[in-house]
Amino acid sequence: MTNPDEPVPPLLHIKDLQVQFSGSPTSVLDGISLQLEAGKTLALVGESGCGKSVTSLALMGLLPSSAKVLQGDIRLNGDSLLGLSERQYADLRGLELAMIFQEPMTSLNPALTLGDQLAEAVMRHQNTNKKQARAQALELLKKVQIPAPELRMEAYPHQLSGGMRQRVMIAMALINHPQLLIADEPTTALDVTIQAQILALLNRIQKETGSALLLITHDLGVVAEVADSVAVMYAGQIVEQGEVADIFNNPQHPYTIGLMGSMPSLAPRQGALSTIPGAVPLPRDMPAGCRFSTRCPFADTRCHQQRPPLRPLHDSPHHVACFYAPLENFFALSAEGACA
Amino acid sequence: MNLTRRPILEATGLSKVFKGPSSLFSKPKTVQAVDRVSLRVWHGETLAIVGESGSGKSTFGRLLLQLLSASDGDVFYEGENLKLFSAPRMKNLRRDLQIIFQDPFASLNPRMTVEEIVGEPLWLHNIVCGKADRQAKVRELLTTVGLPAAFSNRYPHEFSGGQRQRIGIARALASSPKLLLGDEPVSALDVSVQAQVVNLLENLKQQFGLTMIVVAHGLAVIRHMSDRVAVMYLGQIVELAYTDDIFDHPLHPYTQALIASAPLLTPGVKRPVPLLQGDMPNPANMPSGCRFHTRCAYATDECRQVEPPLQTVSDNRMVACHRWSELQQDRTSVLIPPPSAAFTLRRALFEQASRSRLSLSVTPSTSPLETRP
Repeated sequence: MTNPDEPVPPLLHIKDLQVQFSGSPTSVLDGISLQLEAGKTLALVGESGCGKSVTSLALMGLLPSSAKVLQGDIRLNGDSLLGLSERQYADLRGLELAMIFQEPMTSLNPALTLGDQLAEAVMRHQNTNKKQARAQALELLKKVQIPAPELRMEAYPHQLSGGMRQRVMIAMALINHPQLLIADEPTTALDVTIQAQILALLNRIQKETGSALLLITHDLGVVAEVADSVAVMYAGQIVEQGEVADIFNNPQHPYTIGLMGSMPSLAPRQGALSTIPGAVPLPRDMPAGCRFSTRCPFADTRCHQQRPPLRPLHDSPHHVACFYAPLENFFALSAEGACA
Repeated sequence: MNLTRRPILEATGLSKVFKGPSSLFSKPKTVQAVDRVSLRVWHGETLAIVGESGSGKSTFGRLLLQLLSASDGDVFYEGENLKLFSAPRMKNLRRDLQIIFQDPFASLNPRMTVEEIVGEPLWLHNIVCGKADRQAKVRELLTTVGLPAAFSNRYPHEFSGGQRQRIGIARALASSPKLLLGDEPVSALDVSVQAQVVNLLENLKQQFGLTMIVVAHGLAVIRHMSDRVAVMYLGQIVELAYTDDIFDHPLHPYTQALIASAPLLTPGVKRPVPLLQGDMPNPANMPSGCRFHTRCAYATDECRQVEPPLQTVSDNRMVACHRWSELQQDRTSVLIPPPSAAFTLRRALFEQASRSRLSLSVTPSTSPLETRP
């Protein structure tokens, strides 16, 4: 299917994806483009309502019927996913693409034992009997380091702690060796010590299996810990994209800068936190130009009217959608500002 | 920090036991949520109580404010035992001790307008008489927390999470409290909104000379906001110290592990302390000896059998660990690299531009978004 002369397509390629909910005057995803290679971790960062979860639902073919893909494409190994029938998608889900949800309690079936739920996922995609499937399930529970896995096979989800449930979710996602793992806020509901365990587990498993990980999160600390590359989303658009070191050491977009400035640090306190005034505009108030312009302290008339393209900075993978990047080329620090 | 070292609240040997359902054939299961905790809260400080879920930190906060009654132990307010307070005095005391809840969606009555919510403490405590005065006071309170006064006729569902949390703060401020307890006040909020609310709480503390107790699990927020930190594990305080001391040189192995598991904002930096294994034990089935021994890398037989007391190790510093002094040597403190020069410069530009925007707008408390028709 792929021409040998052409370069190998990336594992996941989202091209200029635009999604709109019926009744909404603006698109919820507005020209999202992402690429992810096998074995890598891409973090999609943004606050509530920025469209990061809609992106993952679009990928999994789980968009509600009120959402419509207006343009763009999603390709897995070069094959488009958008034209697939529901039946074809169902064959793909859990086999090639698997998802780890935020709240494991609502994603696991409370009426089935862990062994049965895991075996069900195997039997859906592989031609095995129940005994073999359960053997695979037990193998996976060991792999995600569930203590006493033989006993847990007969346990119900409510008998496990939050961290253990999330391990079971990960086991279920991994059971058919998917090429792409999508984790939607996998550690948000967990305590920090458990979060660290789960992140370490994801890291180890990814090294072992070589699957790609699309990590959806609002927590920049988690991003710094596990991601290879980062896309920062704001109101349905990607405003900045690059390697993880680019984003943290050389943030360019005012939204990224404001977001990082508003994160308290574990280092000794240095003054008050930065804040981004206001809130994300409602769909009916969305500006025609840069969607961040209503809250950006640098915005001028051009920003309100024209949408800045996502452009590369000196031919690097680091991209930013701002007319005024890097900021220091356009604005100077006054003497008063310098001492702040 | 120049604190007048006078306790506003003091807990001595405070315990809370929750009972499970009992049946004809079995004794009810009990959970000791808080176990013999003693703590002083100084006037004017921000004290953080930190711990994982199930550590008893919220229960302890509620015991301090008498929102739950203790199974054992006493709480003193300004040196007076609250047990001896009469009902009318207790009601009066509620004016002084207020709470901000975690979930801004569940803690506001959806059938009440903002004016009714924020105004309720005003009529309950007879602070402002007359409807017109009360309305004026509500408007003033809304402005104080950075909401347009015109919002007072709206209902909670019309607001975002951050705005609702501001309404909750306005309600807490209505009775002119002396002490504010924030039970995870920002953990349900988005990062940028969280920063707004943290800054607001700090400003209010300054403005009204409040004492604050922050119950939280977000370590970075605690480092940023608080003067002292109490670390709780399974119903007990395991370490208590000034914020910088506890973050730079944690003594208790649990504190070390807790701080090490908080992600840093610097890619590629790994912490030397090993990850904490396993989950917190079930509080209904408490481990013997030191409660942390089931997860502690340094546990000995002594730790498994003898409960370590919370001992004073230096000025203003307490720890409950048998081995803290020997463990001190092989502890490597966490090095957090400073933010990059590029980020520091652009952040300064961002703040400078934000300030000049703010001084240009007529009403600084409303964002451009909110003033639009």
